[in-house]
Amino acid sequence: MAGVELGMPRMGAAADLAPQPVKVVLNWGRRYSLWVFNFGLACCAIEFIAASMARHDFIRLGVIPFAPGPRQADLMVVSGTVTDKMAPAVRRLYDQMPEPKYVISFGACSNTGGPYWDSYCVTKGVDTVIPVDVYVPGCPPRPESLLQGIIRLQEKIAQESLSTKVIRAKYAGHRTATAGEVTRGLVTPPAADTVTRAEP
Amino acid sequence: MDAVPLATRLPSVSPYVVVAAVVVVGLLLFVAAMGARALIAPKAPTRAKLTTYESGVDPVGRDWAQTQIRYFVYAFLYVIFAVDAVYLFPWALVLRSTHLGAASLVEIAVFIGVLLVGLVHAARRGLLRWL
Amino acid sequence: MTEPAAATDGVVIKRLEVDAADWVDAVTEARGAGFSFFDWLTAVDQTDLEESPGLDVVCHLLDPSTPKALRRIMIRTRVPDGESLASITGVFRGAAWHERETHEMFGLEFDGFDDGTGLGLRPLLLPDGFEGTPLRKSFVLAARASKPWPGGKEPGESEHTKPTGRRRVSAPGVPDPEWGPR
Repeated sequence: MAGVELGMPRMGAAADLAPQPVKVVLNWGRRYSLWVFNFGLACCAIEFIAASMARHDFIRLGVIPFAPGPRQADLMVVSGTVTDKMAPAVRRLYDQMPEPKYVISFGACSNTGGPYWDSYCVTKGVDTVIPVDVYVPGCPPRPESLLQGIIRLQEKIAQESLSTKVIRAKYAGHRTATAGEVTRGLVTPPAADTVTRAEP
Repeated sequence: MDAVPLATRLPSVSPYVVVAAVVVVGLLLFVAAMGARALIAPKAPTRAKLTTYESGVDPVGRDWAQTQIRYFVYAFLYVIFAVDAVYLFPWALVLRSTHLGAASLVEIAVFIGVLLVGLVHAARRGLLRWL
Repeated sequence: MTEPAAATDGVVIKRLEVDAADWVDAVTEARGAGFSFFDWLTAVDQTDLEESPGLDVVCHLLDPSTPKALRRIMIRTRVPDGESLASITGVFRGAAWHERETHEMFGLEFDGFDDGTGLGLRPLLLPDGFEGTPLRKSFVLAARASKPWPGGKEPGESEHTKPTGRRRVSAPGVPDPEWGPR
C-alpha cells in the first residue's frame, strides 16, 4: 500500500497565526466538551460507570456523550488490565482517534500493570503502547478520583498551545519508527554455570 | 412611543424571500464552520488511522457491504400502513367542512385502492403472517 | 480402576483418584452414573514432588438431575511429566476447549483430541507467538527481571514489616537475581 504520501502532522493554515484570545477560546471549548471513548476492560470499568452515574456524574464536567467509536472521541479512558493480547487493539483504536486526543489511564493495572504486574500476559502499563496524559491511581480508584483526573486534564488542556511544532512533537513520534521496529530481544537467562545462588 | 406599529414601518418582504434567506444563512453557517475547521484543526493522517474501524483489529473482508434487496418489504409495509394513515387523517378532518363533495370521496377511494393492491400482494406473499 | 479413597467432602464434592490409563473409562462411567454436566478440566503442576511427580489432571462433573441438590464429582489422575493423556472429547465434546487450554498452559498432550474441526490440539487463549507453558512452576515470570520494581515483592521484604526470621521461600516462577534487572 505504499505510494500515497500522507504528510507530516500539521495544524491548519491559520492555527499558527491565531492570536492568544482565540487560542484561549478554543482551549476552553476543547476542554469542556471532551467526548469520552471508554476503553473499559475490567473492574475499573465499573468504577468508571459509577462515575458516570447520578451520584458522581462526570457529565457535569462536560464529558458527554459516550462516543460510539474512536473516530468521534477525543478522550480515551483506559480502565482495567491491559493484556498482551489486547494491547494491539488499544494501539489501533488510539491511532484511529482524531487529533487532538488525550488519554487518561485509570487504575493501577493500566498505570503499571497493577497487582498483576508479575503475570506472563499483562502489559506493564498502557503507557508502553500509547502516550498517557493523566494517570489516576487506585485499585480501583474512587469515582471522585476520576473526577479529579478529568479536572486535572482540563487544567492541562487550558495551558495547551497547539501549533504545528507542538503536535509534530507529540504525534509524529511514531512516524520515525513503528512499534514493530522498536523491539527488544527476549531477556535470556544467564548461562547455568555462571549462576551463583545468593545465600539468604 | 411611536403610534405607528413596527410591522408597518419595516418593508414588507415576501415569505419566499424569508425562506431563501434562512437557507442561505444555513449554508453560510456550514461553510464558516467547515472553513474554520480547515484553517485551525490539526491534520495528522497515518496509515493505521485511515484503516477501516473494526473494534481495534485488522478489518476482514471488504469495507463495502450491500443491503440485501429482500429487506424492501419493511419499507413496503411501512408505506402501506403509516404513510397511508398520514394522508387519511387530515383528509378525514377537512372532508365535511370544506365541501369537497363526493369527488373527493372517490379520489380517496382510488388512493386506498392502490394501497390495498399492495397490501393484497404482501398478504399473498405471506408477509402478514405472524409466524 | 483402582478403588478410590472416594472420600466425600461432607456432602459436597465426591473425589475420585484414578490411574492415567483408566482416565477415559472413569469419565465415561461417571457420565453413565448421571454426572452428565461437564464443568471444567484443568491440571495442577506437581512436578516438584519427590514421589511420583507429574501433572495432576482434574475433571469436575455435575449431576443436574435435581437442581436444588446437585451432586458433584472431581476425578483426578496423575500423569508423569512428558507423557500424554487420553482425550475425553469423545465423551464430552465441551472438553475440547479445556483440553486446548490445558495443553497450552502446561504442555500436556491429549491423545485422540477431536473437536470436529480437524485442526488438532492448538492454543486457545495465549497470543500468537507466545513461547512457553505459563502455568508450569518452571516457567519464570520475567517481569521482575525486565525492570526494577519498587517495594517489597515477597512477604516480609517491605521496609514497613519487621523481618520474621522465617526462611525465605523462593516461590515458583520467581527469577533468580542473576536474571536482572541489569
